[in-house]
Amino acid sequence: MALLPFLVGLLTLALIYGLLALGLNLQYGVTGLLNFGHVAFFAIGAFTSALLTLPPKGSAAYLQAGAHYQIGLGWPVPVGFLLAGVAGGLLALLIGATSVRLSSHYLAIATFAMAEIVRSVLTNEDWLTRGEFGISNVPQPLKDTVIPASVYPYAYLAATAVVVAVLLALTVRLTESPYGRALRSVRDDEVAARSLGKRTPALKLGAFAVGGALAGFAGSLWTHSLGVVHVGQFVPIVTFQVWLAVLMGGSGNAYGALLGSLALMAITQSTRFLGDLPLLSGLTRRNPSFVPSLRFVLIGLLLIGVVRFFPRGILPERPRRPRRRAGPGRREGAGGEGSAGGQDHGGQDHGGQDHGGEDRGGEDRGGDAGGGLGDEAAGDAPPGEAKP
Amino acid sequence: MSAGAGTPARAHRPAAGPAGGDALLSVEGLQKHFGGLMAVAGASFAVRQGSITGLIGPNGAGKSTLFDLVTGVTRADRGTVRVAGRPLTGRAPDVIARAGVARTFQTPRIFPDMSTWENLLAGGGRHPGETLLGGLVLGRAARARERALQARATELLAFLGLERVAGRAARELSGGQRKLLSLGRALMTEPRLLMLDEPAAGVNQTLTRTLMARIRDVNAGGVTVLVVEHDMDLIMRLCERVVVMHQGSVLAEGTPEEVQRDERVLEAYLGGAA
Repeated sequence: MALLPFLVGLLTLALIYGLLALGLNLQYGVTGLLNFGHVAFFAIGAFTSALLTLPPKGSAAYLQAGAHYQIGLGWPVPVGFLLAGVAGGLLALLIGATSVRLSSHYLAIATFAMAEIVRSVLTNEDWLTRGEFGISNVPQPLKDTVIPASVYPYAYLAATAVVVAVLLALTVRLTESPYGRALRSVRDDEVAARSLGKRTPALKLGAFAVGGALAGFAGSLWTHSLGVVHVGQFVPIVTFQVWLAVLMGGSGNAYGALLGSLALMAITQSTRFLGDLPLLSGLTRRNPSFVPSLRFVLIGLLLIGVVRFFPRGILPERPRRPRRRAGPGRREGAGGEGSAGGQDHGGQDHGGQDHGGEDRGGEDRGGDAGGGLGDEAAGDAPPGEAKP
Repeated sequence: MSAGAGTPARAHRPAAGPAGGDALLSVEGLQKHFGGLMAVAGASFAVRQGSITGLIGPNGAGKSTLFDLVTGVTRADRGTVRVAGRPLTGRAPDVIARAGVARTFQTPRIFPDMSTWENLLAGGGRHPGETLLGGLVLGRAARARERALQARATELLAFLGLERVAGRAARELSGGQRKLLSLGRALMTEPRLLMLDEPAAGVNQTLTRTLMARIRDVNAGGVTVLVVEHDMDLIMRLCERVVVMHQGSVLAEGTPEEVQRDERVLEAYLGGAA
């Protein structure tokens, strides 16, 4: 097997799972919501994007592909992508409106059940989804027309990286805002947060919906990268893999979620080489499903190991420190000066956040997610100086 | 010091409520039972605007339950709660908090994985940046509000002597520091009524003295204080009014001297509940 295509595939998948993990991190890592049905938002995003962009039934492309699906709207892929996020968000809103008020474990059960319901519906409504057969000619944008098939995986990886970087930057901006702080207060002690006047049900619902939207986006990226969508892809193990990514990377830290996904993919994808090991090759010959099954065992063991021995993950969330902008005497004389500084950096604010977004690996600044708001000094300073 | 602590309270000094003349909090016929246990059995009392009022009573008298009922953490079976004349019975805790009632809990409920600094900032309300869109956009109003809260939190860190631990995760704080932090966080909400549930329990004497001084400062800044405490000495020195609860209802109400002379109070503490 050629190494480069393998790596490109692995990175693309890691980014897509990274987006899923970003969503779950917002729900669980930041807000404390136990969502065990994340795969449902992923599935809804994938099917939404696929059905919206497929060539319409009866069209030349449809006939040429020998397809059998009923619905294809032939819309542009970017539209499908955006609406996949909307669909994921709306499903989360629907589920959340009924169950986000449940306390932790009940929410976990409700979301798990919800995901199974979604999967059953997708399986049985085969007029829409072709059930277990799936739909195999999901459009891959610009393939063969602008970008030759030989370099398509590289182009798709680059596009995915840009999309994920933008969504990461927006998510970090959100979690470092007063809104993110309010979400963390709900996570840490909901009763206390509510007693401080926080509208905790609305906060939880908001985080749940945004997390669902991120998973919807991930579904779209995935289905167009494969050109295939079928319901068998959306099984509970996907949810647990995303959990593993979030916990391994560092719950509460968006960069950790991405790093955790990369680690997850490195681990699970390399298991396909397990069959080459001398010890295991004999077993594999007799039982072809041996190694794939072993992968499930490995994920389970890892999840247990991380929770038990490494609960804060590779890039733990760090407490946000106060910024020392000017000395303690700042308040007396600096009222006017302070507000002027706040205004002229208004445009810069965004730039200050974006540089973090490029850094998908997050190795060096992931833990420094404590940048934040009201951070005039950091916003004006060159990126490197934002660290304490 | 006291000027700093009082700043926000002066911002919305309420007019005297219509009910009970100058009562900021008035509780009438409040009842709550858990199964067969009548935890609060028709308690009625008022807390005067601008006062420091003590709420005492033997263990199991219903003080903490009463706190939960007033702040909406537990729903009352019967009775009314008014703050500055506005009926708040049965409202959600966040609504009651936004009406100007801040509380601490008997066991401090800090946000353990957030820093001391963020704990304080999280207390600040009326923040345009605290909505989904507001947080993403972070417009001028949100940035101004954030600066104001940061200035206030900086003052409170100094006021409570928590500057050294500002950047620490709150789970690393000592028990006493947690009490101070939850007091500070409650003050960040700029309350008119501050309800403290055993602020001095488990706190050493030096810190207790500091705490008392801080509570007086806060009160001098215009915040009405209702305090549950077992430390009689503290109550008698701090409070101008004392409400005594026993078996779920109000046994006596008056100045510390009046209450101390009351036969029934002595009976409750020494006889019935001993």
